[in-house]
Amino acid sequence: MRHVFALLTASALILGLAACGADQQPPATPDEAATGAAFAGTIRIGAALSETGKYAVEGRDSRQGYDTWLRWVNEEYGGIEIGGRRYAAEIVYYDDESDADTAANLVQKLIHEDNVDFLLGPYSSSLTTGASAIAEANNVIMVEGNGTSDTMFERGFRNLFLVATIASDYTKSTIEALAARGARTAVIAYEDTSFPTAVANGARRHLEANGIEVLAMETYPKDIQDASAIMTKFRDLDPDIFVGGGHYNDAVLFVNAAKELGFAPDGMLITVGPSNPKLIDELGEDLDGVLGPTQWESVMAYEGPYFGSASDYAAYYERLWGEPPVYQAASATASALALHLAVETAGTTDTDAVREALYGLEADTFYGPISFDERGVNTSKPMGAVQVQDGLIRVVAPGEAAVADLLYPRAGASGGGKASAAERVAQMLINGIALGGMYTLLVLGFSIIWGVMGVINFAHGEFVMIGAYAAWLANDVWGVDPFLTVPLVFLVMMLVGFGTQRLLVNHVIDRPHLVSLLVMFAVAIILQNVMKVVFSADFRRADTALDGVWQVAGEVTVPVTRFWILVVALAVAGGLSLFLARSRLGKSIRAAAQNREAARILGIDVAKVYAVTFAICIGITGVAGALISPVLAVQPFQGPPLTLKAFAITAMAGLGSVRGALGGAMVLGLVEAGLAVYIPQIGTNLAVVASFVLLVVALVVRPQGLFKGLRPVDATAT
Amino acid sequence: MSGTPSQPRPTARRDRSRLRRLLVRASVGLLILLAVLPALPGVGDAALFTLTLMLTSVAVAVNWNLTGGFTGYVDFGHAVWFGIGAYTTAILMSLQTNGPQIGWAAPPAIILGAVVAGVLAAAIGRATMRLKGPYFSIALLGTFVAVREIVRVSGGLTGGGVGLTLPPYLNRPLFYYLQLALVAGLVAFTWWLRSTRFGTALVAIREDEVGAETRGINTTRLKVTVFSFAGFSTGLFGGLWAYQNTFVDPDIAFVEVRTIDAVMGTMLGGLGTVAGPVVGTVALFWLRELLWAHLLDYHLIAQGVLLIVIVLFLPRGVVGIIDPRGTSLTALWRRWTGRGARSDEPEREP
Repeated sequence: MRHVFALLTASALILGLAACGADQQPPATPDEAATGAAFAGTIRIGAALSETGKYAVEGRDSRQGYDTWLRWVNEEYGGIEIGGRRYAAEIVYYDDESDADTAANLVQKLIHEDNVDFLLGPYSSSLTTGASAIAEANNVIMVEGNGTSDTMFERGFRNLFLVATIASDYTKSTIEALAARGARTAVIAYEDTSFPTAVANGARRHLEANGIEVLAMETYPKDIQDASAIMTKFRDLDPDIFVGGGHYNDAVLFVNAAKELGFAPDGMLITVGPSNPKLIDELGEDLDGVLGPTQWESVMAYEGPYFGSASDYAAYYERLWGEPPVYQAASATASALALHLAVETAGTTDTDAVREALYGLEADTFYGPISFDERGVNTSKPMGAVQVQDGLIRVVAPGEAAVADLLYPRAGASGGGKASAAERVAQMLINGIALGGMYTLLVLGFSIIWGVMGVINFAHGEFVMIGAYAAWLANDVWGVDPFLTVPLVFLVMMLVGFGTQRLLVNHVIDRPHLVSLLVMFAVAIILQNVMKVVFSADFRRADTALDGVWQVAGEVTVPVTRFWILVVALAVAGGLSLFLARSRLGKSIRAAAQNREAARILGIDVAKVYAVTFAICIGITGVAGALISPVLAVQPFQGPPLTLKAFAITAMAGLGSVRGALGGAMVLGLVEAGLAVYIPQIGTNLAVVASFVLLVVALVVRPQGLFKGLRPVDATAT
Repeated sequence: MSGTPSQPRPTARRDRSRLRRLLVRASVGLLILLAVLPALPGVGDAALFTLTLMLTSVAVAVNWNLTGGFTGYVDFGHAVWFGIGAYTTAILMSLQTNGPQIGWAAPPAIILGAVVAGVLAAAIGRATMRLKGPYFSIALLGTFVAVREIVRVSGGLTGGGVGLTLPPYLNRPLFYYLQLALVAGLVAFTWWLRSTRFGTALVAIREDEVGAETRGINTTRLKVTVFSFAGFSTGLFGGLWAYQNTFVDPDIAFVEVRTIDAVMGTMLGGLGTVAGPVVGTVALFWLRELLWAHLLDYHLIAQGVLLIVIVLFLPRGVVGIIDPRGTSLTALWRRWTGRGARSDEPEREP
């Protein structure tokens, strides 16, 4: 290896001398390269990458990957060689803000304004799809390693090349390994967006090719909060292996739901997440035995004449950036390397010649073998697989790169039996009621605020979210059980509610609905993004001692956490009912709701009553958040769907009616559970919209409201 | 104007005609500037694409204002028409059989996309415009989420969550001029509409729907017609966007942010005015491009704060301050609560 470097450096030196005559120094720094002091010219490459937005982290990794190649090619390698002359490489970057429109626009700019010779890909399939269409239309080559959806390569493009393994082959080597170990049945769950769908369809193909029967395939929408309905359905089918996922956060949902429901298949393969150490921090031992595909790991036994072996590359990368490379970075470096090699083979930067060189490329690299098929996809590099073993990420496939044995069945796996029809009905009812209990707790505060002061609290879900973060934080830092945080969260959130009311709500209470709606909506946006800045958008989970399941009869189980949430919900609803009916303050609240002017005349301090009502309601809402923190994922954007559910339940069941909230929540819980269990494949998607359909139908059919609350519903316009 | 309760004083009328002349001159000047812009040096395709996106936002805001500003029906799901237009266009253009390619050409596909959006808007409007205030708003938000989910699960037709790819055709100047002409036409149409009996009747619905009804105005037909037109027009821009984007999936065709931007732009410019949505959206767009790009993760926080400031302290918007005909939120308040202050007075805390 060292000889190669020495030779290359020497030749670069000679060429540099030849090119610049008097210059005695070899090209050493990019600055020098940029000024062209030692090079015959510059090859300009463009890339749009996410520095901000949801792909900011992966975007930064990709950029470091590209820059690793850039530093290496200019400083170590001595520039790209074309026709015996050395050319410096330059990469022009723009921030695409994780937005597809922006990425496409920036590629246009790179081509027309920066006149780049070639393009490197952005991060993610969704951004690459649009960006590559622009590249294709302008006949500019784009090599990429971080957008792997199959659909991109079914468009017949001639200028798009992928060094990474394509999405449909993500699970191939893992499934082959599992089949060899005796897996016979499988279930698949996937987010129905481009990349996860491609992975899932590929998984189905590989499963069937290996003689594994696919018992069920379920989709779920982006931004799903709760995977328990899917997992219940799967548990009743008793499969050997579970294949699921789409994005990092889904891994949290699946592992969570599986644990909560006592679903423990022999093998769990989760598409994205297990290769990321962050996930082990979050899920701890619950992640043990979980498998995940990986594009590349530094321990893999790959080697090539450039960068050396995978671990040599990792060492070089770490020297530059002070952290080990993730596979996104390695894919980025490999993309640039593939382009570099093709340009050298072609001996020109002409697009047609370089394209032919890319098609003809056969290289062994630190990243694995690279050669492209007619679609532009690297089919020679197999996907690897990792398994979390005792809290460590170990490569278990493919055979030549493996460092540990695949553990199958995984530790803690327990096969149940297939559920009978009656058992499924019973389970559905239990799940529905448990869900109803959660919704009751979630809706009470919203309903009372609307009923008493006529304010639609559009930031309701965000107060839930803050309660959830409070409990998670207490759990994460001091190990306090979320159920024990209830009193404290209630008090703190009461203060938050009181402050919000005094500061903001009080000023909009007499203004049109649009005003309070928009102000609270703005509060929601602010809270979401403040939490995102503070805690990042990663899904979190709190741990409670009240977890697991009670086996009731046969395959029917009761999820323990949800049972206790239901108990708390009933207690809060009962207490609130009594408080409103009996206590002096409760009577004042009801009076103020029914006729504010009359209440004022009777000497009730309406402003105070409003502030206290708001405080109590936000307190309850915060408690709801604290209690769902072990069940639903804790994340900055969990609020809006909860707000809309609260709205739907309240508008149907009566504004400010405790009994209505309970009834409405139970109906919605049962409908959602029923849809999720009995509608095959798309049940979870339908459950997501059930509340809106119910709401719109209820309002249109009966605009005066279904039930009587503190305030009449009265939705008719004329 | 004779039908509205607040007859303006003569000086106010003179001020207004002067203001109107000023606005007309400013818009003609702006239009000429925008028309010659692509010929200027340094304005490349990328800049034109940015401007085209801005024009799209302006159009959506103008359409939103037709129902939200003029009739007072605040549509929280307006982006659904954009998505329907985009998807219809994408479906028609990417139609395939096993044999020959039978995808439609872009112009008829985009127009049919707009028509589908308009017809669906009429149907949904017919059902939901019986609801008032926040109920209407949330029903439309529900419609938006439901339609997105329907598109997602109808994989055979829509490509499901994976989406559809369109044949790439990238002629930025063409789209720029097309959308510039459409937006100019749309704004002129709104301006004209405002002065017709129809437009006056729309405002009458906002001010006092029951009163308008008793005076023989068929409010249902009027508001559904204007709602349907807004759906049609937004659908048209959705189709144009899909063609330029060369790719649709449920999460980029149906985006809440499109509605939020329309609401924010219109509020900033002036709810219920002709110029408001244009001024506000353009201001918001450049604010975001120039300033908020540097705030990175904080820009949404800034946007939230700005929204509160607008709503609390600038309820009539930028244009509304100088044009007394704009909807003050007080008028909406009166509509929803049946009590309140005169609509031509700036709002005060009660």
